[in-house]
Amino acid sequence: MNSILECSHVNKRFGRKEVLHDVNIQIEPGHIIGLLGPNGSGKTTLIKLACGLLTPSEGDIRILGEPAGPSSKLKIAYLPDKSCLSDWMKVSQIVDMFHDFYSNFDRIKAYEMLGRLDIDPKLKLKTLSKGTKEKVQLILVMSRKADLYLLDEPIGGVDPAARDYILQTILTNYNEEGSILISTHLIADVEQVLDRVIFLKEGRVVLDSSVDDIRIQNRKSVDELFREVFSC
Amino acid sequence: MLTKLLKKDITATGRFFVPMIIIYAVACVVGKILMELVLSMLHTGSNMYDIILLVATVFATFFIIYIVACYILIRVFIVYDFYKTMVSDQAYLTHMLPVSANLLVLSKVLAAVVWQALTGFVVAASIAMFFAGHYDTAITGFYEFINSMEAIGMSFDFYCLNVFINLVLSAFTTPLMFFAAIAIGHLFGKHRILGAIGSYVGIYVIIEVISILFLIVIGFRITKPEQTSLLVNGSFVFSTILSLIMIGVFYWVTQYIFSRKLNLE
Repeated sequence: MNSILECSHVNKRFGRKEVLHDVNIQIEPGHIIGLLGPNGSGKTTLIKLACGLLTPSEGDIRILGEPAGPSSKLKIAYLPDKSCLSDWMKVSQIVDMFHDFYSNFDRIKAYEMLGRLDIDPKLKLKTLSKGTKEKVQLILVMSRKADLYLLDEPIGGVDPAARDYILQTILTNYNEEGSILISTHLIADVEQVLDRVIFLKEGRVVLDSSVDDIRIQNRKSVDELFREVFSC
Repeated sequence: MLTKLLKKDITATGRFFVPMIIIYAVACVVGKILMELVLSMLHTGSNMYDIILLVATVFATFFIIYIVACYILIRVFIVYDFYKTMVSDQAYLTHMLPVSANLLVLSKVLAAVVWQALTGFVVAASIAMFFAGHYDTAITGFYEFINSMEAIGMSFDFYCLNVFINLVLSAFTTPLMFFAAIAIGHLFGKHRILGAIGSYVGIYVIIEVISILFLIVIGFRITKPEQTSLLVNGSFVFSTILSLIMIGVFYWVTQYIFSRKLNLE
């Protein structure tokens, strides 16, 4: 089976600081993978490298066999850990922009999701609360039929009710022929939806295993194993 | 995709440029009315003349300040939009669009050129408006200008063509020099803004040194006053060639850094 994402011997340094060290990952279609690790473990860096927003210091990253470029960006739907939308734009303008650029963007689906949250598309983004902006960003990402969804801390910094909405939106809207990579340190909230987990510790992959294997072999939940691996 | 990018970039920058141009146009109309009032009162000897002259003078002062501000603001808007969308928070969205860095940069340059051209057109129209009704004075001054050029051996057609070419080229070199500086600054890790400012100053100094060297070389060849045209004509050709080189180099550097060295930390 062709890998959707393939990282081979990836290193990333910022100045003298090594943020990722010899990372090797393969992601096949049809999986929901948790990229788990404490703050500063390199999760965001790895996702940005996969998106082509960072250039690896060494190693190779391929999306469906191709290096990062315009065609790989059509295959990836990326949710950054911060707002990247222009505040002066109306929600409808942003939806139109996504429709213009991404052939796999479903405008009807986006408006349906906005409607369910009572978000008025005529409103400018700067008039929305931080939480609503994050939901708009999530709706835009999940309205695409992408091969790989890279979601960076989608439930970080939101209340438990919003977490449920976010996870529900992800699970009911993603392209099931593709895969999702979710980075988070809130394991208990996402554990039930994950097929596989990758533990990152100080820029190194310390565990890459299916959730079932962890439960059977270690007789522990992912959350328990995470606490054990990353105990201070 | 370029059309879509241009639509996005022109809409984004339009929210700065459109109000600036509208304010300029309104100020020109008010200025023209005041100018005509002053001129008519000058001939009729109205007792309101002093007041209107004072109002017109104050207005003209602010108008000139606004023109200078516009000259700076055009650059500020272009730089702000490029920085915000190419290396700051909104860059995450920009660089995730399924287009090459080459097209991203091209669209930014063309959007900047469109706004500069539109501003230039409005300025030209405003000059024509100010002269409206006083073309005799303008045409006399114009002929004097042509005669003075021909006296030093310069062709008026050559002069006009070169001014036009250099204006068009400067609409490309001005934004591209900023873009290249921001792109080079992007390589400076945690000191990107400082790196961009340093790069801009560095590029500026290099261009100035090259220009001064040219003037020194050509200056030594001028021994008679009649040869002044050699300096002017040579300067035009030199600045055209230099601008073309600058456009090529700045464009290549900018798109190379954003396609090969992108690091949105």
